[in-house]
Amino acid sequence: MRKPKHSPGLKLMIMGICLIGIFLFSLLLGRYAVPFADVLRILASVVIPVTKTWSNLAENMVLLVRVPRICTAVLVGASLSVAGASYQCIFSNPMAAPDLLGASTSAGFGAALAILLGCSSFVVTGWAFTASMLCLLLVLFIARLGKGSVTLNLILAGIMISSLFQAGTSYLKLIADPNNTLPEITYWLMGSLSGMTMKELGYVWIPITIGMVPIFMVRWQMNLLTIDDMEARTMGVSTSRIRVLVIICSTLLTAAAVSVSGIIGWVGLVIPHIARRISGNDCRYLIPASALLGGSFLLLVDDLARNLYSTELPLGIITAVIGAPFFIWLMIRERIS
Amino acid sequence: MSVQVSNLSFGYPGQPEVLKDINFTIPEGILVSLLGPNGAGKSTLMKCMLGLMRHYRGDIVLDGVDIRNLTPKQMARKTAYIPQSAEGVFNYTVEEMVLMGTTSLLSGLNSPGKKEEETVLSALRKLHIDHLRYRRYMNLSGGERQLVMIARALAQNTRILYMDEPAANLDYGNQIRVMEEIRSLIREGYTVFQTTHNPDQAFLYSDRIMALAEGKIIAYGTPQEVITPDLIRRLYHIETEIERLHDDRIRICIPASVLEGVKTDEQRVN
Repeated sequence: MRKPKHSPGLKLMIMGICLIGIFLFSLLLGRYAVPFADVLRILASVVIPVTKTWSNLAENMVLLVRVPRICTAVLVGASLSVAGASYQCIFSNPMAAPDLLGASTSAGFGAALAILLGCSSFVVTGWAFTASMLCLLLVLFIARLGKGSVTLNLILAGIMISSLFQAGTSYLKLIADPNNTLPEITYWLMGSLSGMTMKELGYVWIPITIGMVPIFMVRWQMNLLTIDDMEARTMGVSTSRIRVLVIICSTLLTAAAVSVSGIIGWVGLVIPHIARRISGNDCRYLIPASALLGGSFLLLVDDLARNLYSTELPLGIITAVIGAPFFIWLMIRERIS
Repeated sequence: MSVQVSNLSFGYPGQPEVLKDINFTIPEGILVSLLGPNGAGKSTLMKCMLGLMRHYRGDIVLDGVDIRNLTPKQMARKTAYIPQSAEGVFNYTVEEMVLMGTTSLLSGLNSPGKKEEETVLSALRKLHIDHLRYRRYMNLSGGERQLVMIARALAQNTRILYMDEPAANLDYGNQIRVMEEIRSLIREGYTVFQTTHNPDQAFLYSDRIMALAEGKIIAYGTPQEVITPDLIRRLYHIETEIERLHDDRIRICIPASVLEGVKTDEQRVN
């Protein structure tokens, strides 16, 4: 068989260019029209002095409304996809998704509790994140107590804790005021990026960076987690250490993403699969490909969410409506070929 | 590079000992086959020698160094393990699969690059499978996969190879092909320690035979010295006769029941 036509590096570069293209395109979208030339000038004015030829409203619209939202969408999409791809490696299971260990359901509980207590949206984010991290600690602790395979214990502990938090959320919805807090909780659980400001973006990038950097550093070694553990250890890889590191980092990514955006399913499952098809299973390329594709995908989905109707559509609904049929199509195509 | 095992005993916590006071030395550049029935402790012995087991008693010494004093990475620079080829979850290319073997040669958490890709290519060439480089591992035949597993160990750049029944699950032709490749590695100076269930294969290809039963070594020496009807009876509880072919340069085991079966069948046919 011949060498593959395109090198993985080239493919990553094309994905990066696509992301930048979608980013610029997204800045144009919205009810208040800002011409493309103005968008570019406004962006440039942040770093270099440019003679001002645009209105203050246009500047605020681009820099204070669209940029934070678009950047958050990219970060959330990239985080969920990288977390999904990492979970798939750690658990040697192509069906693993970022919410496997309960990171999303617990964040949902934290958010619901904060909404019920009448907290501001910023505090809600903090509570969601805290609940998610607490859930991770619980899962790691319980998995240690169990006998036998650590991986299996983690998954079982994740399912248990997740269902407990799910029950908690249901209870909170039951006692929530159906006129104001209940719809707010329900809407949060369906995922949305509306009302993102520089303040949220200013915080969310921190945990995302802390989670992303170690995963990128050990991404070659992550390949060896997908083969037999004993084989990997004879190749000099401390599998248990890397596994715990990657679990913590990818849960951190999921928690950070979900706490700002609410629960968005499918991205963490579908995007790594598409990334695998394009750049192969080698995590050296799979992880960056997942990040780039996930960022682009969620950004497009968010563009739909804010422009399709006069009211915003929840992201979770759009990702499911796009994700599920796409997944089925992939399965069928694979069978035919 | 030699391997010395002295007074090795091992038992899983709370269970009777699997290995009992084992002593042997493997000199450099030979192929040792470990024979023994299922449950004799073959894989446990191999795991201990690979440094995967803690809490064994006795010493395992590689080239004068106690393996307890080696980090996993240092250990991986001295010994490589070749498993039976198995299905994976993700379908890596042959190149990626073999690149994994170079991980212990990388400093820190670096990723393999051009230099490691060269190592992979020369490992594939050595086994005459460089044409498989860009194929996907799980789309290969059993024999090809086993050769890829061997190539992965070669890319690890060690002089000692441990193999878990490298020829099991292969068809006759591939068994011979794989064993021939292993023989040529021995000629290059590699030391190979393999488990096997097949006394004939041990006869044909090994320099030394080690027989393990109930956690003890009951024989260790050249195939001619060690493989006797008596040993086969002790290991597998069957009666055999050993035939000498080509002026005793080759020996094979024939189950006695087959020889008797042939006689009665002859009488029945006549």
